[in-house]
Amino acid sequence: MTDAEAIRRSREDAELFRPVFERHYDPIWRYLRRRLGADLADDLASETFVLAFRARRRYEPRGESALPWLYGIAANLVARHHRSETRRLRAYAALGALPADELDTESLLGRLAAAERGRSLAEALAALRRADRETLLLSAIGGLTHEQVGEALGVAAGTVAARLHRMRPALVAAMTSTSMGALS
Amino acid sequence: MTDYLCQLRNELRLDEPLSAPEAARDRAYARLEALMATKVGAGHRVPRRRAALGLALLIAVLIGVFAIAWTTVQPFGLHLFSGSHGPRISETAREAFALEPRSPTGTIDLDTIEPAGSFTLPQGQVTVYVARTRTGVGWATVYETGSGRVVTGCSTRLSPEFLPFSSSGCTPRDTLPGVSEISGLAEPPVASVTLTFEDGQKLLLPLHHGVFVYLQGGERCERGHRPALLVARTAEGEELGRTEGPFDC
Repeated sequence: MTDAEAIRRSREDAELFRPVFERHYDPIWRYLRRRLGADLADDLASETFVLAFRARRRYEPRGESALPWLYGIAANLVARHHRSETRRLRAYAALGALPADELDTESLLGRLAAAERGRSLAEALAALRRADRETLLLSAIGGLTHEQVGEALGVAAGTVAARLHRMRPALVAAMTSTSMGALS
Repeated sequence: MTDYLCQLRNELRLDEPLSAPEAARDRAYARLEALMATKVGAGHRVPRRRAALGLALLIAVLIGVFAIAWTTVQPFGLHLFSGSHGPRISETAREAFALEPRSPTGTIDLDTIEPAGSFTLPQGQVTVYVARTRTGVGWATVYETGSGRVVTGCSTRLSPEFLPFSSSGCTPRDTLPGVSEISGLAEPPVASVTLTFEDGQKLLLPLHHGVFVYLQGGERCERGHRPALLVARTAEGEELGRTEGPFDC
């Protein structure tokens, strides 16, 4: 049974929503863990599926997989933390050190801290607009295609491509200072 | 994938495996399962027609007016429970806590649910349950009427700096007219929380995992009898915090 079919049938038999949870809990949790760290990942992953279940009547499948739709719900939850994420990125870019409560090596900030020149990347990420950052990180962390990111964020695939293209110079510059010549 | 995205993934080592903890997954599924077991999950559609909503609102207002009038002549009969003493926690109340919509960091810790008190309304006896959030700086209440109907009570989240003592007032007017809730957190070194009324009477409020709850209704809504002062003290009697009223229904 595909996700689309499971969600459609779960409108009458709620139990049929279970396969959607089983298939997609892990990637959603991983995305949230990378974005916001361990403390919030558990709660937000749970919240994502509760919201998805409540919204299942409004779900309009674009493909067989509901994963982009679920990423979209998760991205909306992450958006509530946009300002604090920006603040943390800027603080790290400026100081080059993480406070004790940010030492989560799996989170985005932890990964940046472990990278060779994470500070320049942190600065570049902090400077992104919310929509751009969501687009970039759904692509990079979630591994979604342009079409899937578009489905998640409710924009056209062309918009996703345009956003990624627009962000390229700043990100490339930040990474070039990390590993000279890697992109040449 | 775009070239620089691959570079970004490599830079941040995003391809390294990362597994969700079983406990988190189990908790998430338990929450979803509780939702599935409710009417929302069972596939019942919520009526959306405007006329039906209007009629429902009218009925609710009429019931509210009637209930307020009735509570002025009917004893409120408040009884506060200590610790976990009190009626058994019903499955409906537990589900209501599990489904309590709130900010993500505020998920309710279901192990902390305790009966806080009961009182009487025209609809029958109402039992109030209280529980803390998993992050520990928030709490929520759920009200259950004798007919098994559960309504969301109040929920509050605090910044840790408000500890060891804080309080808040809340009126679940929409669902329980004529009732007001005074609740808060009291962490060590606070050992007791006392409520003093305008008529001079005092009441020691039981603590439920550090949360105190008082339900104000009946004659305690009348001028001269309302709750007037909350005081938190250490075991030695030293005052650590206070909230001054009077509190209105």
